[in-house]
Amino acid sequence: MIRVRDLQVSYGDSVVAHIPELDLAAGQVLGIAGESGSGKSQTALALMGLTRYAGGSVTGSVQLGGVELSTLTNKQWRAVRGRRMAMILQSPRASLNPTITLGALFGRTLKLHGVPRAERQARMEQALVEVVLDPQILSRYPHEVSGGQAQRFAIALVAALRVDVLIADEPTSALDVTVQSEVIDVLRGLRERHGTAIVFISHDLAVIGELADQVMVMRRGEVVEQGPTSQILHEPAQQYTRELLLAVPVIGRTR
Amino acid sequence: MSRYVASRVAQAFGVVLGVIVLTFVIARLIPGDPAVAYAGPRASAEELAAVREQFGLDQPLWQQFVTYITGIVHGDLGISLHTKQPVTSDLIQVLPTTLVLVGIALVFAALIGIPLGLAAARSQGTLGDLAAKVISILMVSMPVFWLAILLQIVFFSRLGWLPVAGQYDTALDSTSPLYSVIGVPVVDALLTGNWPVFASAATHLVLPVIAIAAYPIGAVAMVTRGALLENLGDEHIRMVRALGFSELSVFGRFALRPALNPIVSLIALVFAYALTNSFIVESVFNWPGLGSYAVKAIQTLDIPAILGVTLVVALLYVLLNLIVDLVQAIIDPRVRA
Repeated sequence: MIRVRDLQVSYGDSVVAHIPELDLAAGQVLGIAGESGSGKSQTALALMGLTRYAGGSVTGSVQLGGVELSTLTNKQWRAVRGRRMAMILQSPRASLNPTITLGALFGRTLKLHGVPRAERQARMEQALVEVVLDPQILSRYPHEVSGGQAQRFAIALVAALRVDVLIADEPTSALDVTVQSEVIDVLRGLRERHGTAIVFISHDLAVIGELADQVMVMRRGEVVEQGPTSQILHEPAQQYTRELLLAVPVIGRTR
Repeated sequence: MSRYVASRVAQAFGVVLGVIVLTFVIARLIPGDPAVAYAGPRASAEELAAVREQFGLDQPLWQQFVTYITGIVHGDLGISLHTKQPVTSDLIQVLPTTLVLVGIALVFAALIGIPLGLAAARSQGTLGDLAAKVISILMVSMPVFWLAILLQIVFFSRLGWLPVAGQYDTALDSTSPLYSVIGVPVVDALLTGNWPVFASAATHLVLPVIAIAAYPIGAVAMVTRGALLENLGDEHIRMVRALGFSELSVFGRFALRPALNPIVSLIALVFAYALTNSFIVESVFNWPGLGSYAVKAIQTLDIPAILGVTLVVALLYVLLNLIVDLVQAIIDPRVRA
């Protein structure tokens, strides 16, 4: 589904992320792990073609379903974003416009992507059921819902758009542990029901382990280690990965 | 929402009451005897006493205050010392002129300032952005009296394109007599379909409006640019971009709406500023508005008129702030909470 070759993100002269090779099939989950500043969020932005809005530039190749994305114009990108790829972000409530209701954002997005007016309500409600949210939430503003509700709403939005690939940039980091597992369940459901490929970014390897089929570990913009989840989590080859794993709290273990 | 409205209205009443007390006290603390100002420097002691009695200046302060408050409630602001007319009817006569002038300037501030700020934010870091910034700073930093005179020199003396003063060419009175509706020629001419006078009044408006609107336009453009740029880094903007919305929607809809609140607050602030500037601009362009009236009132130590002007300005300001609060609550639901 996604095929990345020699992707390089830079701001001015400094390279903030470099991915030599990455392949992700439909229905698969790739976890990207690393501490802050490791380049994982920059990778997410580059995959969505949003680096230019942050003032950076991208070289290399990103293909989605065989179509090269790196040469797309702004207009062509808009037919990819929200239609084939979507993104959810770290601060669920801050990622929703504070001045419009969730329903207004949902409706406008569906309209943007050509969902006929008559179908919109049903599409919204069905997607909300999938993420276990009451449709009444559509009349609320972002500040009137909890972080977990906002993140599940964002996932419902993505589900309703029926995208092929979801980029989830630290989607659970701002949430407390019980809410984290709710969001992970919802993401798992999204993958199972719609075959959505997910790029799941987190600094927390334990959370990644719950969802990902393969893991890529990044540090200072470079890929340190890459492979199947079980291998990375249980037999890490690199010292840095072991350090990341040690940072995961495990009940009963003392350091 | 209704509770929010009620609390805002109550607060507005409190502010008005405070203004009434404060202006009354300050007026009595100003050095100078209004009775002397009224009766003239050569008046005898008996004449002064008569004037004091006539205007109630011989009564104890608290009694003067009670009389004043009772008057305000009945719409009676006393008799102006310099026009010898009721202050209320004086104000009704001069206020529309100033409101039309300031109103048009503020509409321009919004219609030009917001798009200018939007364009600057959209092209951040380019030459266009720099140009917009320089223009805004010039507009904000030019003293209004200087700008007014500069406009007269350039557009009247040098180029001869626009009239130098007055509200319309009074020579038209013989061919197209103007009937007063609200007492402002440009509006009266428009309402009565008097096109020759309307055209003349419109050209007379250009320079005063530019002089008053310059500061608001520049200030609104700068704040719009800043508020937009601040929002552009927010996650909700990244989100709508990732959802595939066009840059036009991103700026004009998703970034502008949360940015409107500081802009609306600013428009209330620059209203006060524009009103004060209109005092100067009216003098320079010889417009018979609230500003000219206030200047004369101050020169003649006309306390009832000064208090009346202060009260009206305060009322306008409180009213506008009330409107701003309500508009903000409509724009941004977080304000209501």
